[in-house]
Amino acid sequence: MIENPVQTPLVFTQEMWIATGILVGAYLLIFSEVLHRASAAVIGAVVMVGIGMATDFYTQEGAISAIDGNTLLLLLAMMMLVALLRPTGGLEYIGIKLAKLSGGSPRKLLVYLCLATSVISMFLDNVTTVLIFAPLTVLITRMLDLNPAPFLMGEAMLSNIGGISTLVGDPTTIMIGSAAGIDFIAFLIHMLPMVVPAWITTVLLLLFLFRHELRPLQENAAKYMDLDESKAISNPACLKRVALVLAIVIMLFFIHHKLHLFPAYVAWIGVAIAMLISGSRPEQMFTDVEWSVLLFFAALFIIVGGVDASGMLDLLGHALAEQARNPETLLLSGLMVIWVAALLSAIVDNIPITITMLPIFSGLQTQGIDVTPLWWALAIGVGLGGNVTHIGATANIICISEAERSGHPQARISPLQWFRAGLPVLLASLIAVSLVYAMFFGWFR
Amino acid sequence: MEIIHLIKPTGIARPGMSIREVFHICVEADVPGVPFVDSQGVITGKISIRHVLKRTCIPDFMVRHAQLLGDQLHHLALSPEQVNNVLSLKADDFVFPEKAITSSSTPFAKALAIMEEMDTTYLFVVDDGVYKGTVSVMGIAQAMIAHD
Repeated sequence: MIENPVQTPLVFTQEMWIATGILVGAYLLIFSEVLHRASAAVIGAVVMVGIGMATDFYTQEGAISAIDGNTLLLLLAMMMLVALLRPTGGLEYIGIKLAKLSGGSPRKLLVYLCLATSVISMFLDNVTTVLIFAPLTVLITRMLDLNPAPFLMGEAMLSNIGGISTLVGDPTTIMIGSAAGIDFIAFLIHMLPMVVPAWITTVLLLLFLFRHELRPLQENAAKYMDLDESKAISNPACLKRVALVLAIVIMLFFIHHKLHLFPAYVAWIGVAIAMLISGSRPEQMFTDVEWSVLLFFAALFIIVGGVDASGMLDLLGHALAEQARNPETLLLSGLMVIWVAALLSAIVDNIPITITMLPIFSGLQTQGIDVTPLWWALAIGVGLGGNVTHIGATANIICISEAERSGHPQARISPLQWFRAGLPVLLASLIAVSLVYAMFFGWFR
Repeated sequence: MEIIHLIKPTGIARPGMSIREVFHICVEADVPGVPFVDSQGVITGKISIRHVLKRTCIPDFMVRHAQLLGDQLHHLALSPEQVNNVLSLKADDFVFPEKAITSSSTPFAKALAIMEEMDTTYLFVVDDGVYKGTVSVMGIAQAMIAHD
């Protein structure tokens, strides 16, 4: 057994108790949804800094340095780019084209729409993707006299899965990539081998679970989709310019590590070019930014920074170090992280879970322990967990709301109905991911 | 110029009426909406044709993609049965609070300002708690032409 180089007494200090208490209190306030989650997090952050200063374990400087600027700036820049893309109608155009390609086959339609939302969510915010695709899906399915519910659930779940595969696809992957110092390509090639089986498993299971709703329609059903995709694009010149900017940004993401550029800086290059050439008013970009989300993340970083400053996360890290240091138990630890992170994320918001885990894993990394497999495990776990309940991810909530507004008598998705599909989907995708993770563990080290 | 000369008397909607009855009142008076009064005769809101149609005939997903729709709606088209169902609904469920109320001594400009503020094209005229009728932008335009 390798001895732990840093001996920390396994006792809670008073500061640790205080910091953990504030964290638990803040998280309870967030999860209870009594207040807006950003308000709850800000209150928690203010209390953490105030009490931390009074009891000498946290400082204002410490709070500011706990905020991960790379994560927040990357999120901000991507939100601004998405704000430019959204009104162009480009995504609606793709959605209608794919719907027509399905030829009126419900199964093909589900696969195509889910594939589109997954791929787009790899590079753009999945909430935006679903916000655009969900109402379009309702329109298309209602035109075909189909129940939109399976399609909406599929889009939400698979946009969540798609987002896990890249460094910029989901706030959790942005945070993990930033904390672990992982580049875009490394993230993609390690996550895709897990995401692809999860994607296939989920689609197959959805096709099975909703086999009655997805029964083939009459042969000429496609004629009912009387939609003109060309009218979706309101300003073709603007769409071309925005598409060019996004292409530059995505290309730069693939080589950012070779150019020694932070992913956030790459995204800001895109924003700067967009400001020069898009022709859109910058107010549009600023207005569509989800400032409350950014504030929520910043406040969470401050709260967790306080717990870290109290020494609590070091203590946890040292407790985990023994397990992580041993190559024989590292695989088990990774699998545990996948399942525990997924199950926790199924119950509560995955962002606080991720932000709490980051300094623990970073601490292990600074001790010279190879925690790389644990980063992948955390990314896939928190990403998949959101699929199990109707409130597990923002995309789920949007799709439920669209289903209710669709006017179809069977479209309403109750929490139990979501859970009935979400639980088998989560378990099947977790089994598929765990098999890949265990069989090719060397690849994830 | 005051709106007193432009008031168009209309019927009013009462509790228990159907949408069919309310639409008849609107069509007869050529107005887009009528006040709704409670059992005490007090105006508690209005019923607007546009609001009823929006809630019952055009789902939100169609509104958001109206430009993309072709002329063949098939399953999304309104069937005679749906029309009958809408007309049979109770008017009470479509009442929404109305603040676009003014008195007959209101000048044109103020009436227009209230309409703009309330995002509507017509106002209910009430004097001393008694409903007198409706003034619309159409009536104001007619008055302007008459003075030309």
